[in-house]
Amino acid sequence: MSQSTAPQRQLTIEQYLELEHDAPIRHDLVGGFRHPVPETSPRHDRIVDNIYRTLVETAEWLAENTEDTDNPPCRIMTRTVNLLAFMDAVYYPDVMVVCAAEPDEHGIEHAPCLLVEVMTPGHETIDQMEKWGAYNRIPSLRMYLVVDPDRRRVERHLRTSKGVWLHAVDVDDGEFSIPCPRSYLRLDEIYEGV
Amino acid sequence: MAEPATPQRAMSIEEYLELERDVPIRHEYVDGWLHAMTGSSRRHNLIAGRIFRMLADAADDTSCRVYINDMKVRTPNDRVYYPDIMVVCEPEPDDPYLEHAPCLIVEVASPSTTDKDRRQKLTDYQAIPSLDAYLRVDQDRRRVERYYRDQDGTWLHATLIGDSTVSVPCPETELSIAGIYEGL
Repeated sequence: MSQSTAPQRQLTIEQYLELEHDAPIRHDLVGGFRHPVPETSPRHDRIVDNIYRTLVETAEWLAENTEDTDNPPCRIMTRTVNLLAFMDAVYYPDVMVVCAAEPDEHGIEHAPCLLVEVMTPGHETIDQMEKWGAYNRIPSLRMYLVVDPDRRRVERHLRTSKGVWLHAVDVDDGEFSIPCPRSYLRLDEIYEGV
Repeated sequence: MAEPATPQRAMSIEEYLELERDVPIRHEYVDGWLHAMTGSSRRHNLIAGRIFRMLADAADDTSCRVYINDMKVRTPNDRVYYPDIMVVCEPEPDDPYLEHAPCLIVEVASPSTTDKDRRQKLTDYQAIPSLDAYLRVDQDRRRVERYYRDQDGTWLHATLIGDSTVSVPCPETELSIAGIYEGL
């Protein structure tokens, strides 16, 4: 027999969403084909939760204590929301912050301000290289964080007001400013309980 | 408490291309991110070598150039990779260190590059208008994944196994799967 599988065609986003709706696990849409999201560890999940919780608390505090004009309300999402990125890739970012923008009619976000991915051992290039490539081309994105789950190390990509991307690595014990919600994030908060 | 690390500007593609001419290690380039290429296994090298020989032989009477390992491809979205095997039938570009219009790219799988080959490279290679097919060749099983552009411009994906042949657009030929993996 010449072929073991019938040829599969690239998916449209609508087809992808329909398949995801019934799928037991999540898939990214990359190059028009679905790829399973690598299974995550409890460490990974705890770090994602730490970051999500910290950002939500910060956003709530800012909403109560500052004027909206200083800090537009931001929505903070984790894991289950789709993002449309460069080259029509669709991902489920670990943490996504969207301010002053709405999702499309399918519920897919297009204009995040901050994205965070916690790496999965053995699949580091997905977050460090592939998603960096897909995310940095999103015009609204101001910061992309790649978090190492196995040691206290965070890669920080930030876009200046002139559109130039900068890159820094924070290790062990530190804190850095984030654009949305406008605040600081500490490595202690990221790695709490891990 | 430690100060936040001082941010460095992401490297431009021009800076990267200049750097690549001088350093002994090859890097792939994605928007300022450099990924160092590591050595590959015996199986990987033997499989790549066989495919290269088959394609180079078939390209003999054509104007197509066949490369293995050390020639860069620059994609239209400004990513730069070193495909395992690349066939180019378009005229040579000005830069002697890269190609930008391949017709066929072949990657031989290895554990450390599986994600990159299946996902990122699939996307970036599809964006090359001249590319008609992209093959991903398994190292451990007799299995070739063939991505190819259909007439309407969308891409199809088929998996070929065992004793079948893989048809290749340039040079126009059939690769024998048995021949690729014989004795391995």
